[in-house]
Amino acid sequence: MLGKAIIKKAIGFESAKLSLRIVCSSNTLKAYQSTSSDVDYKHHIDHRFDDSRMVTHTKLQKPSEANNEENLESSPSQNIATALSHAYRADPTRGTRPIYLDVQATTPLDPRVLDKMMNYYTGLYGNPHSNTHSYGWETNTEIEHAREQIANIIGANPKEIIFTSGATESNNLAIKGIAKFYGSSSSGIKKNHIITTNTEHKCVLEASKSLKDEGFEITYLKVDSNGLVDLKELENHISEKTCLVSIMGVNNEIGVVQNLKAIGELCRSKKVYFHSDCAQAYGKIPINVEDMKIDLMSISSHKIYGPKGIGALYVRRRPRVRLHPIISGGGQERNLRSGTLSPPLVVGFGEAARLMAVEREADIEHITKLSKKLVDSLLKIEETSLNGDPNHRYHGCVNVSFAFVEGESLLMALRDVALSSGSACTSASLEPSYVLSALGKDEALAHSSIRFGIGRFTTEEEIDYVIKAITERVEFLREMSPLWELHKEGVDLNTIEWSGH
Amino acid sequence: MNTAVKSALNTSKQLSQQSISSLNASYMNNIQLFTNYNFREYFKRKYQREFEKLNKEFATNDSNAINHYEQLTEELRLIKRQTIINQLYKFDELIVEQK
Repeated sequence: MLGKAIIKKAIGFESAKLSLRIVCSSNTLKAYQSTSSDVDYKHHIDHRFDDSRMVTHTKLQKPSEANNEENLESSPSQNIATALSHAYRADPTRGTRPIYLDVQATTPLDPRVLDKMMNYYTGLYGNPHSNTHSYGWETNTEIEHAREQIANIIGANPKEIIFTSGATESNNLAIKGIAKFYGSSSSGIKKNHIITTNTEHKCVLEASKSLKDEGFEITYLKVDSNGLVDLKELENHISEKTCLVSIMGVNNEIGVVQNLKAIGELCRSKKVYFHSDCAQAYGKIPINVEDMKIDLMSISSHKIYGPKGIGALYVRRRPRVRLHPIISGGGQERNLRSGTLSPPLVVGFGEAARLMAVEREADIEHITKLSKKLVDSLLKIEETSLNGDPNHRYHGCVNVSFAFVEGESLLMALRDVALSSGSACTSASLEPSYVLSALGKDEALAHSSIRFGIGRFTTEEEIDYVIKAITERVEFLREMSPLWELHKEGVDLNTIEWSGH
Repeated sequence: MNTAVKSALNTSKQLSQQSISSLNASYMNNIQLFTNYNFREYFKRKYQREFEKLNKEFATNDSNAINHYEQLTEELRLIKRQTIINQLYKFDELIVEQK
Protein backbone atom coordinates (compact mmCIF):
# COMPACT_ATOMS: atom_id res chain seq x y z
CA MET A 1 0.00 0.00 0.00
CA LEU A 2 2.67 2.40 1.11
CA GLY A 3 5.02 1.23 -1.62
CA LYS A 4 2.36 1.81 -4.24
CA ALA A 5 1.79 5.36 -3.01
CA ILE A 6 5.50 6.07 -3.17
CA ILE A 7 5.70 4.75 -6.69
CA LYS A 8 2.69 6.85 -7.69
CA LYS A 9 4.26 9.91 -6.14
CA ALA A 10 7.51 9.22 -7.91
CA ILE A 11 5.75 8.90 -11.24
CA GLY A 12 3.95 12.16 -10.62
CA PHE A 13 7.23 13.82 -9.78
CA GLU A 14 8.86 12.45 -12.91
CA SER A 15 6.06 13.72 -15.12
CA ALA A 16 6.19 17.13 -13.46
CA LYS A 17 9.92 17.25 -14.08
CA LEU A 18 9.35 16.26 -17.68
CA SER A 19 6.79 18.95 -18.25
CA LEU A 20 9.08 21.46 -16.60
CA ARG A 21 11.83 20.45 -18.97
CA ILE A 22 9.50 20.92 -21.94
CA VAL A 23 8.59 24.40 -20.74
CA CYS A 24 12.25 25.23 -20.26
CA SER A 25 13.31 24.05 -23.65
CA SER A 26 10.48 25.80 -25.39
CA ASN A 27 11.48 28.97 -23.59
CA THR A 28 15.10 28.70 -24.56
CA LEU A 29 14.09 27.81 -28.07
CA LYS A 30 12.03 30.93 -28.21
CA ALA A 31 14.94 32.97 -26.95
CA TYR A 32 17.30 31.78 -29.62
CA GLN A 33 14.96 31.58 -32.59
CA SER A 34 14.83 34.86 -34.34
CA THR A 35 11.47 35.29 -35.91
CA SER A 36 10.87 38.52 -37.69
CA SER A 37 8.39 39.77 -35.08
CA ASP A 38 11.06 39.52 -32.36
CA VAL A 39 13.30 42.09 -33.95
CA ASP A 40 12.12 45.63 -34.42
CA TYR A 41 14.72 47.10 -36.76
CA LYS A 42 12.90 50.38 -37.09
CA HIS A 43 13.10 51.18 -33.39
CA HIS A 44 16.45 49.43 -32.90
CA ILE A 45 14.96 46.96 -30.43
CA ASP A 46 15.62 43.26 -30.30
CA HIS A 47 12.81 41.76 -28.23
CA ARG A 48 14.75 38.56 -27.66
CA PHE A 49 16.62 40.39 -24.93
CA ASP A 50 13.64 42.01 -23.29
CA ASP A 51 13.92 40.33 -19.90
CA SER A 52 17.64 40.96 -19.57
CA ARG A 53 17.68 44.53 -20.73
CA MET A 54 18.68 47.18 -18.24
CA VAL A 55 17.33 50.61 -18.90
CA THR A 56 19.51 53.36 -17.54
CA HIS A 57 18.53 56.98 -17.54
CA THR A 58 20.89 59.83 -17.12
CA LYS A 59 19.63 62.14 -14.43
CA LEU A 60 22.32 64.76 -14.70
CA GLN A 61 22.23 67.54 -17.25
CA LYS A 62 18.82 66.66 -18.57
CA PRO A 63 17.69 69.48 -20.78
CA SER A 64 14.05 68.82 -19.91
CA GLU A 65 13.94 69.58 -16.23
CA ALA A 66 10.45 70.58 -15.25
CA ASN A 67 11.61 72.96 -12.51
CA ASN A 68 13.67 75.04 -14.84
CA GLU A 69 10.87 75.29 -17.29
CA GLU A 70 8.50 76.56 -14.63
CA ASN A 71 11.01 79.10 -13.40
CA LEU A 72 11.54 80.32 -16.89
CA GLU A 73 7.84 80.56 -17.56
CA SER A 74 7.02 82.50 -14.40
CA SER A 75 9.90 84.92 -14.73
CA PRO A 76 9.11 88.42 -15.97
CA SER A 77 11.21 87.78 -19.06
CA GLN A 78 8.75 85.26 -20.43
CA ASN A 79 8.00 87.37 -23.44
CA ILE A 80 11.60 87.40 -24.57
CA ALA A 81 12.45 85.36 -27.62
CA THR A 82 12.30 81.68 -26.86
CA ALA A 83 15.74 80.84 -28.21
CA LEU A 84 17.03 80.02 -24.77
CA SER A 85 13.96 78.16 -23.65
CA HIS A 86 14.52 75.67 -26.46
CA ALA A 87 17.45 74.53 -24.44
CA TYR A 88 15.22 73.48 -21.59
CA ARG A 89 12.15 72.28 -23.40
CA ALA A 90 12.09 68.66 -24.47
CA ASP A 91 10.68 67.75 -27.83
CA PRO A 92 8.57 64.67 -27.05
CA THR A 93 9.47 63.05 -30.36
CA ARG A 94 13.18 63.41 -29.70
CA GLY A 95 15.59 61.96 -27.15
CA THR A 96 17.01 63.84 -24.20
CA ARG A 97 20.70 62.98 -24.05
CA PRO A 98 23.07 65.79 -25.10
CA ILE A 99 25.19 65.56 -28.24
CA TYR A 100 28.77 64.59 -27.43
CA LEU A 101 31.25 67.12 -28.79
CA ASP A 102 34.08 66.77 -26.29
CA VAL A 103 36.33 64.12 -27.82
CA GLN A 104 39.45 65.90 -26.55
CA ALA A 105 38.37 64.94 -23.04
CA THR A 106 37.66 61.34 -23.91
CA THR A 107 36.21 59.26 -26.73
CA PRO A 108 33.58 56.50 -26.70
CA LEU A 109 34.93 52.95 -26.75
CA ASP A 110 34.73 51.52 -30.27
CA PRO A 111 32.52 48.38 -30.32
CA ARG A 112 35.23 46.56 -32.27
CA VAL A 113 37.66 47.26 -29.43
CA LEU A 114 35.18 46.03 -26.85
CA ASP A 115 34.74 42.86 -28.89
CA LYS A 116 38.44 42.05 -28.51
CA MET A 117 38.48 43.02 -24.84
CA MET A 118 35.54 40.78 -23.90
CA ASN A 119 37.70 37.68 -24.47
CA TYR A 120 40.00 38.80 -21.68
CA TYR A 121 37.19 39.57 -19.28
CA THR A 122 35.65 36.11 -19.80
CA GLY A 123 37.96 33.22 -20.72
CA LEU A 124 41.51 34.47 -21.14
CA TYR A 125 42.34 35.62 -17.63
CA GLY A 126 45.93 34.47 -17.26
CA ASN A 127 48.61 36.70 -15.79
CA PRO A 128 50.73 37.68 -18.79
CA HIS A 129 53.87 37.46 -16.66
CA SER A 130 53.20 33.84 -15.65
CA ASN A 131 55.80 31.86 -17.51
CA THR A 132 54.90 28.38 -16.33
CA HIS A 133 51.54 27.68 -17.96
CA SER A 134 49.51 28.28 -21.08
CA TYR A 135 47.15 30.76 -19.38
CA GLY A 136 50.09 33.11 -19.07
CA TRP A 137 51.50 32.34 -22.49
CA GLU A 138 48.31 33.08 -24.38
CA THR A 139 47.79 36.50 -22.79
CA ASN A 140 51.49 37.30 -23.10
CA THR A 141 51.42 36.59 -26.85
CA GLU A 142 48.50 38.94 -27.30
CA ILE A 143 50.14 41.67 -25.23
CA GLU A 144 53.25 41.53 -27.39
CA HIS A 145 51.02 41.65 -30.46
CA ALA A 146 49.29 44.75 -29.11
CA ARG A 147 52.66 46.34 -28.37
CA GLU A 148 53.59 45.82 -32.00
CA GLN A 149 50.34 47.40 -33.24
CA ILE A 150 50.92 50.44 -31.02
CA ALA A 151 54.55 50.80 -32.10
CA ASN A 152 53.69 50.51 -35.81
CA ILE A 153 51.72 53.77 -35.83
CA ILE A 154 54.76 55.82 -34.84
CA GLY A 155 57.39 53.76 -36.64
CA ALA A 156 58.92 52.50 -33.40
CA ASN A 157 60.28 49.15 -32.29
CA PRO A 158 57.77 47.22 -30.08
CA LYS A 159 60.44 46.93 -27.37
CA GLU A 160 60.43 50.72 -27.02
CA ILE A 161 56.79 50.86 -25.83
CA ILE A 162 56.26 50.93 -22.06
CA PHE A 163 52.68 50.51 -20.85
CA THR A 164 51.52 52.90 -18.14
CA SER A 165 48.17 53.86 -16.64
CA GLY A 166 47.70 56.80 -18.99
CA ALA A 167 49.31 59.85 -20.52
CA THR A 168 49.56 61.62 -17.15
CA GLU A 169 51.69 58.83 -15.75
CA SER A 170 53.71 58.70 -18.97
CA ASN A 171 54.42 62.43 -18.76
CA ASN A 172 55.42 62.15 -15.11
CA LEU A 173 57.63 59.14 -15.79
CA ALA A 174 59.34 60.89 -18.69
CA ILE A 175 59.95 64.22 -16.99
CA LYS A 176 60.73 63.05 -13.46
CA GLY A 177 62.51 59.93 -14.69
CA ILE A 178 64.91 61.85 -16.95
CA ALA A 179 65.41 64.60 -14.39
CA LYS A 180 66.19 62.18 -11.56
CA PHE A 181 68.56 60.10 -13.69
CA TYR A 182 70.56 62.88 -15.30
CA GLY A 183 70.07 65.58 -12.68
CA SER A 184 71.63 63.58 -9.89
CA SER A 185 74.53 61.97 -11.73
CA SER A 186 77.64 62.56 -9.67
CA SER A 187 79.99 62.43 -12.65
CA GLY A 188 80.29 65.30 -15.11
CA ILE A 189 78.04 68.32 -15.33
CA LYS A 190 74.84 68.20 -13.34
CA LYS A 191 72.07 68.51 -15.92
CA ASN A 192 69.29 70.13 -13.97
CA HIS A 193 67.53 72.32 -16.51
CA ILE A 194 64.23 71.47 -18.23
CA ILE A 195 62.50 73.41 -21.02
CA THR A 196 58.78 73.23 -21.66
CA THR A 197 56.08 75.59 -22.94
CA ASN A 198 53.32 77.43 -21.12
CA THR A 199 50.56 75.85 -23.23
CA GLU A 200 51.37 72.28 -22.11
CA HIS A 201 48.85 70.06 -20.39
CA LYS A 202 48.51 70.56 -16.63
CA CYS A 203 50.31 67.32 -15.80
CA VAL A 204 53.49 68.42 -17.60
CA LEU A 205 53.36 71.83 -15.92
CA GLU A 206 52.73 70.33 -12.48
CA ALA A 207 55.43 67.67 -12.88
CA SER A 208 57.90 70.41 -13.80
CA LYS A 209 56.70 72.51 -10.88
CA SER A 210 57.32 69.70 -8.43
CA LEU A 211 60.86 69.33 -9.81
CA LYS A 212 61.40 73.04 -9.28
CA ASP A 213 60.83 72.46 -5.58
CA GLU A 214 63.60 69.87 -5.72
CA GLY A 215 66.06 72.40 -7.10
CA PHE A 216 65.64 72.01 -10.84
CA GLU A 217 65.58 74.96 -13.14
CA ILE A 218 62.51 75.14 -15.41
CA THR A 219 62.09 77.39 -18.45
CA TYR A 220 58.56 77.94 -19.71
CA LEU A 221 58.77 78.98 -23.35
CA LYS A 222 56.27 81.55 -24.55
CA VAL A 223 54.25 80.77 -27.66
CA ASP A 224 53.22 83.26 -30.33
CA SER A 225 49.64 84.45 -30.81
CA ASN A 226 48.94 81.39 -32.98
CA GLY A 227 50.16 78.98 -30.33
CA LEU A 228 53.40 77.95 -32.04
CA VAL A 229 56.79 77.68 -30.39
CA ASP A 230 59.55 79.95 -31.70
CA LEU A 231 62.52 77.74 -32.63
CA LYS A 232 65.03 80.58 -32.24
CA GLU A 233 63.90 81.18 -28.69
CA LEU A 234 64.09 77.47 -27.93
CA GLU A 235 67.62 77.33 -29.28
CA ASN A 236 68.66 80.31 -27.14
CA HIS A 237 67.42 78.64 -23.99
CA ILE A 238 69.18 75.30 -24.51
CA SER A 239 72.38 75.25 -22.47
CA GLU A 240 74.85 72.55 -21.44
CA LYS A 241 72.82 72.07 -18.28
CA THR A 242 69.62 71.25 -20.18
CA CYS A 243 68.59 67.60 -19.98
CA LEU A 244 65.09 67.64 -21.45
CA VAL A 245 62.82 69.59 -23.77
CA SER A 246 59.14 68.74 -23.45
CA ILE A 247 56.75 70.08 -26.10
CA MET A 248 53.36 68.65 -26.95
CA GLY A 249 52.32 67.46 -30.40
CA VAL A 250 48.71 68.64 -30.67
CA ASN A 251 47.40 71.11 -28.11
CA ASN A 252 44.40 69.76 -26.23
CA GLU A 253 42.58 73.10 -26.10
CA ILE A 254 43.27 74.79 -29.42
CA GLY A 255 44.38 71.89 -31.62
CA VAL A 256 47.58 73.58 -32.79
CA VAL A 257 50.17 71.17 -34.22
CA GLN A 258 53.78 72.04 -33.34
CA ASN A 259 56.57 71.54 -35.81
CA LEU A 260 57.85 68.38 -34.10
CA LYS A 261 60.39 67.59 -36.79
CA ALA A 262 62.19 70.91 -36.52
CA ILE A 263 62.16 70.78 -32.72
CA GLY A 264 63.42 67.17 -32.74
CA GLU A 265 66.28 67.99 -35.09
CA LEU A 266 67.28 70.99 -33.00
CA CYS A 267 67.29 68.93 -29.80
CA ARG A 268 69.27 66.11 -31.41
CA SER A 269 71.88 68.57 -32.69
CA LYS A 270 72.23 70.00 -29.18
CA LYS A 271 72.28 66.50 -27.61
CA VAL A 272 69.23 67.17 -25.47
CA TYR A 273 66.44 64.65 -25.02
CA PHE A 274 63.13 65.56 -26.62
CA HIS A 275 59.90 64.46 -24.98
CA SER A 276 56.55 65.03 -26.67
CA ASP A 277 53.12 64.67 -25.11
CA CYS A 278 51.24 63.16 -28.06
CA ALA A 279 48.06 62.10 -26.26
CA GLN A 280 45.98 64.20 -28.68
CA ALA A 281 48.20 63.63 -31.70
CA TYR A 282 48.79 59.87 -31.67
CA GLY A 283 47.02 58.19 -34.58
CA LYS A 284 45.46 61.46 -35.72
CA ILE A 285 48.39 63.21 -37.37
CA PRO A 286 51.29 61.39 -39.06
CA ILE A 287 54.08 60.81 -36.53
CA ASN A 288 57.33 58.98 -37.04
CA VAL A 289 59.77 58.90 -34.14
CA GLU A 290 62.79 58.27 -36.38
CA ASP A 291 61.90 61.02 -38.80
CA MET A 292 60.98 63.53 -36.08
CA LYS A 293 63.81 62.47 -33.75
CA ILE A 294 61.53 62.11 -30.75
CA ASP A 295 63.18 60.40 -27.76
CA LEU A 296 60.18 60.00 -25.48
CA MET A 297 56.50 60.15 -26.34
CA SER A 298 53.40 59.93 -24.17
CA ILE A 299 50.37 58.15 -25.62
CA SER A 300 46.88 57.68 -24.25
CA SER A 301 44.41 54.95 -25.18
CA HIS A 302 41.12 56.65 -24.38
CA LYS A 303 41.73 59.44 -26.88
CA ILE A 304 41.78 56.94 -29.76
CA TYR A 305 38.50 55.12 -28.96
CA GLY A 306 40.31 52.65 -26.71
CA PRO A 307 39.69 51.75 -23.06
CA LYS A 308 40.33 54.21 -20.24
CA GLY A 309 43.04 53.47 -17.71
CA ILE A 310 45.91 52.68 -20.02
CA GLY A 311 48.52 54.62 -21.92
CA ALA A 312 52.06 54.17 -23.06
CA LEU A 313 55.44 55.85 -23.05
CA TYR A 314 57.74 55.46 -26.00
CA VAL A 315 61.35 55.33 -24.75
CA ARG A 316 64.07 55.30 -27.41
CA ARG A 317 66.63 52.49 -27.29
CA ARG A 318 69.19 53.74 -29.83
CA PRO A 319 70.67 56.11 -28.72
CA ARG A 320 69.61 54.83 -25.37
CA VAL A 321 67.48 57.04 -23.13
CA ARG A 322 67.80 56.14 -19.47
CA LEU A 323 65.13 56.82 -16.89
CA HIS A 324 64.76 56.52 -13.17
CA PRO A 325 61.52 54.52 -12.57
CA ILE A 326 58.82 56.05 -10.38
CA ILE A 327 57.25 52.70 -9.49
CA SER A 328 59.49 49.92 -8.20
CA GLY A 329 58.50 46.27 -8.09
CA GLY A 330 58.72 43.07 -10.10
CA GLY A 331 60.66 44.65 -12.93
CA GLN A 332 58.05 44.43 -15.67
CA GLU A 333 58.23 46.71 -18.70
CA ARG A 334 62.04 46.92 -18.92
CA ASN A 335 62.10 47.70 -15.20
CA LEU A 336 60.65 51.14 -15.91
CA ARG A 337 57.09 50.49 -14.80
CA SER A 338 56.57 47.51 -12.51
CA GLY A 339 53.16 45.99 -11.92
CA THR A 340 51.06 43.35 -13.66
CA LEU A 341 49.76 44.46 -17.04
CA SER A 342 46.04 44.29 -17.67
CA PRO A 343 45.53 42.10 -20.76
CA PRO A 344 42.02 43.42 -21.58
CA LEU A 345 43.20 47.03 -21.49
CA VAL A 346 46.42 46.37 -23.37
CA VAL A 347 44.69 44.33 -26.07
CA GLY A 348 41.93 46.96 -26.35
CA PHE A 349 44.59 49.65 -26.70
CA GLY A 350 46.32 47.62 -29.42
CA GLU A 351 43.10 47.07 -31.34
CA ALA A 352 42.23 50.78 -31.03
CA ALA A 353 45.66 51.62 -32.46
CA ARG A 354 45.19 49.14 -35.32
CA LEU A 355 41.80 50.69 -36.12
CA MET A 356 43.33 54.18 -36.15
CA ALA A 357 45.62 52.96 -38.93
CA VAL A 358 42.90 51.07 -40.82
CA GLU A 359 40.38 53.92 -40.61
CA ARG A 360 42.86 56.76 -40.97
CA GLU A 361 41.80 57.98 -44.40
CA ALA A 362 38.08 57.65 -43.79
CA ASP A 363 38.34 59.32 -40.37
CA ILE A 364 40.40 62.24 -41.61
CA GLU A 365 38.04 62.80 -44.54
CA HIS A 366 34.97 62.69 -42.28
CA ILE A 367 36.40 64.87 -39.51
CA THR A 368 37.81 67.47 -41.91
CA LYS A 369 34.48 67.74 -43.70
CA LEU A 370 32.51 68.27 -40.48
CA SER A 371 35.14 70.59 -39.03
CA LYS A 372 35.12 72.81 -42.13
CA LYS A 373 31.35 73.01 -42.00
CA LEU A 374 31.35 73.91 -38.30
CA VAL A 375 34.13 76.51 -38.54
CA ASP A 376 32.65 78.17 -41.61
CA SER A 377 29.22 78.48 -40.03
CA LEU A 378 30.45 79.67 -36.63
CA LEU A 379 32.74 82.30 -38.12
CA LYS A 380 29.76 83.69 -40.04
CA ILE A 381 28.37 84.89 -36.71
CA GLU A 382 29.52 88.45 -35.97
CA GLU A 383 32.56 88.99 -33.73
CA THR A 384 33.71 85.41 -33.52
CA SER A 385 37.25 84.22 -34.01
CA LEU A 386 39.08 80.93 -34.34
CA ASN A 387 41.81 80.41 -31.75
CA GLY A 388 45.12 78.91 -32.76
CA ASP A 389 46.99 78.79 -36.03
CA PRO A 390 44.55 78.31 -38.93
CA ASN A 391 47.05 76.29 -40.98
CA HIS A 392 48.95 74.19 -38.46
CA ARG A 393 46.02 72.55 -36.76
CA TYR A 394 44.28 69.27 -36.15
CA HIS A 395 40.79 69.65 -37.61
CA GLY A 396 39.07 67.58 -34.91
CA CYS A 397 39.66 70.34 -32.34
CA VAL A 398 37.95 73.66 -32.98
CA ASN A 399 38.27 76.47 -30.44
CA VAL A 400 36.14 79.53 -31.12
CA SER A 401 35.78 82.76 -29.13
CA PHE A 402 32.40 84.47 -29.03
CA ALA A 403 33.00 88.07 -28.03
CA PHE A 404 30.49 89.72 -25.65
CA VAL A 405 29.19 86.36 -24.47
CA GLU A 406 30.23 84.79 -21.21
CA GLY A 407 31.59 81.33 -22.09
CA GLU A 408 30.17 79.59 -19.05
CA SER A 409 26.73 81.11 -19.59
CA LEU A 410 26.79 79.94 -23.20
CA LEU A 411 27.66 76.46 -21.93
CA MET A 412 24.72 76.67 -19.55
CA ALA A 413 22.47 77.67 -22.44
CA LEU A 414 23.85 74.79 -24.45
CA ARG A 415 22.98 72.02 -22.07
CA ASP A 416 21.82 69.86 -24.96
CA VAL A 417 25.38 69.77 -26.28
CA ALA A 418 28.27 68.31 -24.28
CA LEU A 419 30.99 70.91 -24.71
CA SER A 420 33.79 72.35 -22.69
CA SER A 421 35.55 75.67 -22.52
CA GLY A 422 38.92 74.01 -22.08
CA SER A 423 40.52 70.90 -20.72
CA ALA A 424 38.41 68.71 -18.45
CA CYS A 425 40.91 69.07 -15.60
CA THR A 426 40.37 72.82 -15.40
CA SER A 427 36.66 72.89 -16.28
CA ALA A 428 35.66 73.02 -12.61
CA SER A 429 37.39 76.35 -12.07
CA LEU A 430 35.94 79.57 -13.38
CA GLU A 431 39.31 81.02 -14.30
CA PRO A 432 39.91 81.70 -17.98
CA SER A 433 41.92 79.10 -19.83
CA TYR A 434 45.65 79.48 -19.21
CA VAL A 435 46.32 78.27 -22.76
CA LEU A 436 44.33 81.12 -24.28
CA SER A 437 45.91 83.59 -21.89
CA ALA A 438 49.29 82.31 -23.07
CA LEU A 439 48.32 83.19 -26.63
CA GLY A 440 47.89 86.77 -25.47
CA LYS A 441 44.09 86.80 -25.66
CA ASP A 442 42.55 89.33 -23.32
CA GLU A 443 40.72 87.93 -20.34
CA ALA A 444 37.23 88.62 -21.66
CA LEU A 445 37.90 86.78 -24.91
CA ALA A 446 39.59 83.91 -23.09
CA HIS A 447 36.46 83.64 -20.96
CA SER A 448 34.16 83.47 -23.94
CA SER A 449 35.77 80.63 -25.85
CA ILE A 450 34.41 77.15 -26.39
CA ARG A 451 36.12 74.01 -27.62
CA PHE A 452 34.35 71.70 -30.07
CA GLY A 453 35.71 68.19 -30.49
CA ILE A 454 34.80 66.20 -33.58
CA GLY A 455 35.57 62.51 -33.79
CA ARG A 456 34.95 59.28 -35.65
CA PHE A 457 31.42 58.89 -34.30
CA THR A 458 30.21 62.47 -34.76
CA THR A 459 27.51 62.75 -37.43
CA GLU A 460 26.63 65.54 -39.81
CA GLU A 461 23.16 65.76 -38.28
CA GLU A 462 24.71 66.54 -34.91
CA ILE A 463 26.90 69.28 -36.38
CA ASP A 464 23.86 70.85 -38.08
CA TYR A 465 22.01 70.83 -34.76
CA VAL A 466 24.93 72.45 -32.95
CA ILE A 467 25.38 75.16 -35.57
CA LYS A 468 21.70 76.07 -35.35
CA ALA A 469 21.67 76.01 -31.55
CA ILE A 470 24.80 78.14 -31.19
CA THR A 471 23.73 80.72 -33.76
CA GLU A 472 20.37 81.20 -32.04
CA ARG A 473 21.64 81.30 -28.49
CA VAL A 474 24.66 83.52 -29.07
CA GLU A 475 22.32 86.03 -30.64
CA PHE A 476 19.93 85.73 -27.70
CA LEU A 477 22.61 86.13 -25.04
CA ARG A 478 24.05 89.13 -26.85
CA GLU A 479 20.66 90.80 -26.98
CA MET A 480 20.60 90.68 -23.19
CA SER A 481 24.15 91.96 -22.87
CA PRO A 482 24.68 95.71 -22.24
CA LEU A 483 28.24 95.33 -23.51
CA TRP A 484 26.98 94.18 -26.90
CA GLU A 485 24.69 97.20 -27.02
CA LEU A 486 27.61 99.52 -26.28
CA HIS A 487 29.71 97.77 -28.91
CA LYS A 488 26.92 98.18 -31.46
CA GLU A 489 26.78 101.88 -30.68
CA GLY A 490 30.46 102.06 -31.52
CA VAL A 491 31.85 102.52 -28.00
CA ASP A 492 35.28 101.01 -27.46
CA LEU A 493 34.87 99.00 -24.27
CA ASN A 494 38.50 99.42 -23.28
CA THR A 495 38.03 103.16 -22.91
CA ILE A 496 35.23 102.83 -20.36
CA GLU A 497 36.15 103.37 -16.75
CA TRP A 498 34.07 101.00 -14.65
CA SER A 499 33.10 102.25 -11.23
CA GLY A 500 33.01 99.78 -8.40
CA HIS A 501 30.04 99.48 -6.08
CA MET B 1 42.16 26.51 -42.02
CA ASN B 2 44.62 24.97 -44.41
CA THR B 3 44.94 26.21 -47.95
CA ALA B 4 43.40 23.14 -49.56
CA VAL B 5 40.17 23.59 -47.65
CA LYS B 6 40.20 27.29 -48.35
CA SER B 7 40.59 26.86 -52.08
CA ALA B 8 37.88 24.20 -52.05
CA LEU B 9 35.59 26.67 -50.34
CA ASN B 10 36.48 29.33 -52.85
CA THR B 11 35.64 27.17 -55.82
CA SER B 12 32.48 25.78 -54.28
CA LYS B 13 31.21 29.18 -53.30
CA GLN B 14 31.24 31.36 -56.36
CA LEU B 15 30.81 34.99 -55.57
CA SER B 16 27.62 36.31 -57.08
CA GLN B 17 25.91 39.66 -57.12
CA GLN B 18 23.07 38.08 -55.20
CA SER B 19 25.27 36.86 -52.35
CA ILE B 20 26.85 40.30 -52.08
CA SER B 21 23.52 42.08 -51.86
CA SER B 22 22.15 39.61 -49.34
CA LEU B 23 25.23 40.12 -47.16
CA ASN B 24 24.76 43.86 -47.55
CA ALA B 25 21.11 43.58 -46.50
CA SER B 26 22.10 41.45 -43.53
CA TYR B 27 24.62 44.10 -42.47
CA MET B 28 22.14 46.95 -42.73
CA ASN B 29 19.54 45.03 -40.72
CA ASN B 30 21.97 44.12 -37.97
CA ILE B 31 23.45 47.60 -37.77
CA GLN B 32 19.92 48.92 -37.14
CA LEU B 33 20.01 47.00 -33.86
CA PHE B 34 22.71 49.21 -32.35
CA THR B 35 20.85 51.21 -29.73
CA ASN B 36 23.61 53.81 -29.72
CA TYR B 37 22.87 56.42 -32.37
CA ASN B 38 26.51 57.27 -33.08
CA PHE B 39 27.58 53.65 -33.52
CA ARG B 40 24.60 52.98 -35.76
CA GLU B 41 25.34 55.92 -38.02
CA TYR B 42 29.06 55.21 -38.08
CA PHE B 43 28.75 51.55 -39.06
CA LYS B 44 26.11 52.36 -41.64
CA ARG B 45 28.54 54.83 -43.19
CA LYS B 46 31.47 52.44 -42.94
CA TYR B 47 29.78 49.41 -44.46
CA GLN B 48 28.12 51.40 -47.22
CA ARG B 49 31.65 52.36 -48.17
CA GLU B 50 32.91 48.79 -47.89
CA PHE B 51 30.12 47.44 -50.08
CA GLU B 52 30.65 50.11 -52.69
CA LYS B 53 34.25 48.98 -52.83
CA LEU B 54 33.29 45.31 -52.96
CA ASN B 55 30.79 45.90 -55.73
CA LYS B 56 33.43 47.75 -57.72
CA GLU B 57 35.90 44.91 -57.17
CA PHE B 58 33.28 42.38 -58.24
CA ALA B 59 32.34 44.35 -61.34
CA THR B 60 35.96 44.58 -62.47
CA ASN B 61 36.64 40.90 -61.67
CA ASP B 62 39.25 41.88 -59.11
CA SER B 63 40.85 38.86 -57.42
CA ASN B 64 40.54 40.66 -54.07
CA ALA B 65 36.77 40.49 -54.22
CA ILE B 66 36.47 36.98 -52.74
CA ASN B 67 38.86 37.79 -49.87
CA HIS B 68 37.07 41.01 -49.18
CA TYR B 69 33.76 39.15 -49.17
CA GLU B 70 35.08 36.59 -46.70
CA GLN B 71 36.46 39.29 -44.45
CA LEU B 72 33.09 41.04 -44.43
CA THR B 73 31.33 37.75 -43.64
CA GLU B 74 33.65 37.37 -40.66
CA GLU B 75 33.08 40.95 -39.48
CA LEU B 76 29.31 40.47 -39.56
CA ARG B 77 29.71 38.14 -36.57
CA LEU B 78 31.42 40.93 -34.68
CA ILE B 79 28.57 43.30 -35.52
CA LYS B 80 26.02 40.73 -34.33
CA ARG B 81 27.85 40.22 -31.03
CA GLN B 82 28.17 43.94 -30.42
CA THR B 83 24.52 44.66 -31.21
CA ILE B 84 23.60 42.08 -28.56
CA ILE B 85 25.74 43.91 -26.00
CA ASN B 86 24.20 47.19 -27.11
CA GLN B 87 20.74 45.71 -26.59
CA LEU B 88 21.63 44.62 -23.07
CA TYR B 89 22.63 48.07 -21.89
CA LYS B 90 20.29 50.69 -23.15
CA PHE B 91 20.55 54.42 -22.51
CA ASP B 92 18.40 57.40 -23.35
CA GLU B 93 18.21 58.56 -26.94
CA LEU B 94 20.20 61.53 -28.16
CA ILE B 95 18.52 64.86 -28.70
CA VAL B 96 18.92 64.57 -32.48
CA GLU B 97 17.28 61.14 -32.61
CA GLN B 98 13.68 60.42 -33.53
CA LYS B 99 12.15 58.35 -30.78
